[in-house]
Amino acid sequence: MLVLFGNDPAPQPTWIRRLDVRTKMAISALASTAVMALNQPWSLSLLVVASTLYALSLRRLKLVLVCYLAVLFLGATALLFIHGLHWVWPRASATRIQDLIVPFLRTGVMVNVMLALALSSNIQSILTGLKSLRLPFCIFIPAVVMIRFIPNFIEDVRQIAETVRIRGYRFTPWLLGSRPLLAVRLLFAPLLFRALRTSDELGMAAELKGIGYSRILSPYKSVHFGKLDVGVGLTALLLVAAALAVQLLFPASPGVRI
Amino acid sequence: MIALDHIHYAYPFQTCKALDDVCLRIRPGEAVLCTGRSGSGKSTLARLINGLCPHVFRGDLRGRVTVAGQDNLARRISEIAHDVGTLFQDPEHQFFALAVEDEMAFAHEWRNRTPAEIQRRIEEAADSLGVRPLFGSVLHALSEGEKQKVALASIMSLKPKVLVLDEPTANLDPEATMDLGRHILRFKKEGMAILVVDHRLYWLRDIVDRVIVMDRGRIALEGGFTMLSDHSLRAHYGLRLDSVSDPRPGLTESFLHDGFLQVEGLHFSYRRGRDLFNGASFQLPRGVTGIIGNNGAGKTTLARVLTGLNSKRAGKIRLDGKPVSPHELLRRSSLVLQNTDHQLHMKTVVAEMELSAARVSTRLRETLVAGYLRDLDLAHLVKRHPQSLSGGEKQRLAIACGLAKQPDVLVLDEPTSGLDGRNLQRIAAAIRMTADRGACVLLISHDLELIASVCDCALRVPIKTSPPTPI
Repeated sequence: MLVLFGNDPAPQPTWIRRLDVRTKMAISALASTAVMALNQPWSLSLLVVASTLYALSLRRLKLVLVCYLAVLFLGATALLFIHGLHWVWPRASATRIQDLIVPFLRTGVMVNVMLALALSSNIQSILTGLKSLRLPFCIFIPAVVMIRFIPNFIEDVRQIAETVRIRGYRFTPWLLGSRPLLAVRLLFAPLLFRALRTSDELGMAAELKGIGYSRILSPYKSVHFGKLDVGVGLTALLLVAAALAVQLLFPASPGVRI
Repeated sequence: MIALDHIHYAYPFQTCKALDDVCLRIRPGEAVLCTGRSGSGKSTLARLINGLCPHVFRGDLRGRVTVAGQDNLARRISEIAHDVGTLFQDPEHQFFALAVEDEMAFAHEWRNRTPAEIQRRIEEAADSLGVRPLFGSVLHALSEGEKQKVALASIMSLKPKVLVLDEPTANLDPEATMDLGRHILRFKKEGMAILVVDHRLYWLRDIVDRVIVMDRGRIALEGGFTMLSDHSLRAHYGLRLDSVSDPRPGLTESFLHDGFLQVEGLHFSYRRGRDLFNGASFQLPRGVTGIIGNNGAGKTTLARVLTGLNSKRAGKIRLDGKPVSPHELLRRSSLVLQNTDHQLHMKTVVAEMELSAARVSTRLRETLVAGYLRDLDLAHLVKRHPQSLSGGEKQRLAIACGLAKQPDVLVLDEPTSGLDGRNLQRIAAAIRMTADRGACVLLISHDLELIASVCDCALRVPIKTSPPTPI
């Protein structure tokens, strides 16, 4: 089961799927550190281009575009609310489009690397990868529970949408517009309780399996990095170094907010 | 091996005790059945033995619980798990990994065992329960029976001294249930102390050494299995039958009756999956039809197609001789699935019912809702939040909502799993009443008692195509 869109039974064999999940996690961590450090549009653009190529190598163009549209929708909604707030309360600062370039580029990089990780890795490989990292107990358990929660959550949303259909309703724009409170209740009331119950169940399952009995975990399956992982890892490092060089050579102009 | 001495236990924020002065001893190699009506304290007893109470659920505990000579209160739950293996009603609740082999290895990885030792242990347990061929499978794709076996194999690979089974047969077909019984007998011979908490009794006749009947948090009765033959005792404590003869072979085929729901040339498969129905033709009469088949045969999928929830690839469906679209089917049918948590949306029980009866005329709605609430013993809960109800109450509410829609086709998927004898009778009466109103009720159930009490005929899955139906 993939982290997202889990019931794709025959994913296309691309190089990104052959990468060790730890490499993809390291690339995501490197990207998040880099976007925090960089604040110059050209340096971030370099990472956006590279990460877009990385995400597109999934060969799931339609799905990636849908995710981009969802992110754009969220960005546009935020912008709308900022302007609304400024209109109601003029002392709140209005946001110009150019102010959003750097945050937009940062979001773009993160969306690309996270999509590549989520759409090319299955949950089990992430769990195995985390085990092999021998992380401290206090980091490993919450991380595993969080990741293990994802497929349950997706399944809950699917089942709730289904039961709503059985009751004679559909989550259409018409329902959301005409009876927003009912629509919210139909989806979120069971989702909230399921989420609480799932986390309880997972916690109990972990306890009953004796997690925490030993401070050290001995992984059953060992995982190894391959040449591809080394190559992709080095490329990622070089790209971040190049972006940093661009940043140092062309510092951010005073008009650009970070 | 297991010793409970004068246990008093109350869950947090509860004034009423869940267990009240309970004493129990289970020796190595002994199997004990714990039964009783819903809410009598059976599951709490199991939770005290595996340490979930009070370590996870908290609450107020007085008395002493000892397992393998050690006080549970003095040990962490991960230490108790070394001695006690627990199997739940829904094994998915105890899976942490997503693939069979990883799941079986998971607990061992926390016990500092070498990969070679882990492999040896899980292969040995998998062989003894026949799940080795499933090693590469994804857990959620397995049938209920297979999931149960994987969960059991996973526990057995840890070689616990105590086995606690909480409603282990609620989702199993009768064949898988008998298979589980054989495994329990083997574990007994190996010296394990076993506690089985269950409403279904018949399958444990030759397996358990002793029976305890719980009532309002106390052990009301203790004795051999034969004491359950007393009808008045069973009625008093809301128990199910102690012996059940399999009614399935005696049920006539649905196509021998006048068809209300007629299906011709049904083709269905999940995306990129194999064909589940390949040109199936059959008809289902008004009244109650049992959809019968083993775990994983496609019964729930059939129900989903017949109610328009899943779209068929090809085929015709008619209701009372008239072709119907999937949308129309969904409008005229009710499908009550097993996932009650997902089906409850509103603030109060009565609002939940009214949402389901939204299409019934306002004049009739109030009477109808009140009637179903009374019939399913929910009338005293009308103001409660549906998600705050107990498992059995939620199950009855979901069924009441399905009935309140006044459907032409009502599909119930395992409506009595985990319910006691009294509630089984209530559900059976409600099903019968709906069928008598003229609805076509499809019952997907492994519950032999329910099948025996309500089914008029059967549709067996996989479907052997019936003689051409006169559509």
